[in-house]
Amino acid sequence: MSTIGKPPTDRFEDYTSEVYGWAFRLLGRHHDALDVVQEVFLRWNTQCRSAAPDRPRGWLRRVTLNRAIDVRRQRHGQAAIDVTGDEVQIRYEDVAACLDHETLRNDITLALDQLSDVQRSVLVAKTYDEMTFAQIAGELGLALSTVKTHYLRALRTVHDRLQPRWAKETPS
Amino acid sequence: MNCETFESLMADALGDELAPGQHPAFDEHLAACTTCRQEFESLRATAATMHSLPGPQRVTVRREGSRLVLEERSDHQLRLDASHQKPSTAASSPLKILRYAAGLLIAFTGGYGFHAVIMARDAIRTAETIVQADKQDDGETSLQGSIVQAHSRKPKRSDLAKCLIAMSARKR
Ligand SMILES: [Zn+2]
Repeated sequence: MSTIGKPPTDRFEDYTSEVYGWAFRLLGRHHDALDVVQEVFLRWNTQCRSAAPDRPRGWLRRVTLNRAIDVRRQRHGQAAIDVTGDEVQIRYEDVAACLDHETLRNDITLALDQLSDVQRSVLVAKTYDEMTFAQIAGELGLALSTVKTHYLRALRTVHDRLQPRWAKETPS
Repeated sequence: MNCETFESLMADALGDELAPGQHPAFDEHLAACTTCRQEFESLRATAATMHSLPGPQRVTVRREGSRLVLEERSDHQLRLDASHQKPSTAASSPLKILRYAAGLLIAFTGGYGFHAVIMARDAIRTAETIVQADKQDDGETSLQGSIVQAHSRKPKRSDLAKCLIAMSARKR
């Protein structure tokens, strides 16, 4: 459920699904995403003890993406298939699609890592939260033209980072 | 429209926010100018690739005292689904899997280092244990059979594990 258009609140619950969604998008595993949600929840509580963020959703998106990128870095190229204890879980239609998504997730996360906080926020808000540029500008407190500039720069950086992947897939 | 104006509308076009009145002039320049077209197409492909990354399953959120509990919704249970499979898919699967294994090989050798290999080895060892355990129940099946089985509605853990081992073998 989207909270776009709703007035911001300082209840973490109102954003939990989105925090989970941002984390999952980069990590692709339920339990890793849950860990990130818990950590962001703790940071949120700490932050709110002094003052609740002015722009809670923007704050949460930024903190969540940063944390998810850290987790992804620590995970390196671990197997896409979840093997925990004696359980093997597979998350998509087939093994191949699972691996494809995992390498793509990895590439995209590493590309997002190259962006500034604000570029990353704008790109994720536009691509995955499906917000309009005007909504993003309002949420992040930026000028509309600035948001569009960040979006284009971010896309270019991601494109350059994904370039080897495309070169690899194109038959010679 | 000149290149500068085109550039200023590119974010709107990529973000699906171009005003209807702007389309004809934009499309005209797109068709006429190779430089702008290449730039636009590469960014559009990047946006589409990012968009193709699967999002999370829906989660439900509830509060238990001071704890937040997230649960994956049962109607979105992650599972293998045979309805995605066309009859020809099973035959092409080994090729597909080898292709993705090759992708993984590049990912693993592309600088993720030793740690990733060790993590992957742990996963493979677990997978091998599962295959050993299941072998005692119903004898050995071929890798080909396991791949086909892994695409079925109720794959056995040993079949998924065997695919994982095969992929790792290609990777070494
Ligand atoms: Zn041009």
